[in-house]
Amino acid sequence: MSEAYTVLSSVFGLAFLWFFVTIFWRDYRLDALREHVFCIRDNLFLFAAQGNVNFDEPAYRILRDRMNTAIRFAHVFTVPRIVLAATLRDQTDNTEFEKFSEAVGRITSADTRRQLEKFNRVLVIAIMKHIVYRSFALYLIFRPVAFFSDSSDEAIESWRFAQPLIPKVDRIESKAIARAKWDERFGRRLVAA
Amino acid sequence: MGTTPSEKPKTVDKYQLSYRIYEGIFSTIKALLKYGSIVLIVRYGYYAVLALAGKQTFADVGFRILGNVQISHNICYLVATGGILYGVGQRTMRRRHIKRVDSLKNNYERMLDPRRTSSGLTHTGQTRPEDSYE
Repeated sequence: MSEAYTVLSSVFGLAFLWFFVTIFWRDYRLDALREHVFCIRDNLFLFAAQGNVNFDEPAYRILRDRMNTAIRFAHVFTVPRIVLAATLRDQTDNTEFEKFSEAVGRITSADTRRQLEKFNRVLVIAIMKHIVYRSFALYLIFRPVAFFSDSSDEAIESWRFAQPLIPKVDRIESKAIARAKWDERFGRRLVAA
Repeated sequence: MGTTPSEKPKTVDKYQLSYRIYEGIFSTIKALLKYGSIVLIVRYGYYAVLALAGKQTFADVGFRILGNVQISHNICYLVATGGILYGVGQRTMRRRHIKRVDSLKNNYERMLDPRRTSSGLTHTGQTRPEDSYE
């Protein structure tokens, strides 16, 4: 009899855990990423408003569009997708990251170039953090490590293991952007029809 | 022999198709794990109610595992830890949001009303340290 009570208590606990992990935790991590990217986008805007870069500068526009897409498609940044992006050989056109790199290369001021590249890296790191922390189990493993080591955006950038992951994350981000553009075109065509 | 212009779209299509297929496989596995686990939880809940009613006893491995007091306690600790982390995370996010939005909103309001007064809270919407007496 007492074993049945224990089973019932475990079942209630597991049911709470199920709701927590599948609904509340996912939503919370999504909100956290969006808040983080909003912060980065605000800082980028202030950087441009201070006259460091023109609002019409292609690099600024690409970076801002990428941030907007990251906010809109935050839900597609998952571990399986990063595995796919890392393993499948991509034959598609230049990624948004490459377009951004080219646009940044055309800026004459070295300081502005450095700063815009930093904004871009901080964005990619925010997405990488989200991919790991989106899973509650991975959060429990990695969050204490991040707590005891310096886990600021700038510090993580220097972590050696993060470096090779940056282009993979960029590839997923590029796919999200391509999909956003496709949705927009398809939506317009539907409205026109 | 160079590649003909029609070959590139073919490889792009092939890539996109295989990406979609793998994405579909991952989504299916994810859905199976997600909904399979809740079915399993409900199943053991049903078994426990039957056992409590005295109708049946179960020698099932899962029943034995969930019937272990230590495991039951650990599940409860996990739920409690998750709840605390969730609450603390939401609080941190709310404060960060206030800090981000507050300064912009205040600047706009000050442009319309230069004599605008402030509540005097900190940028994160908390009581100022010098005001915190009870």
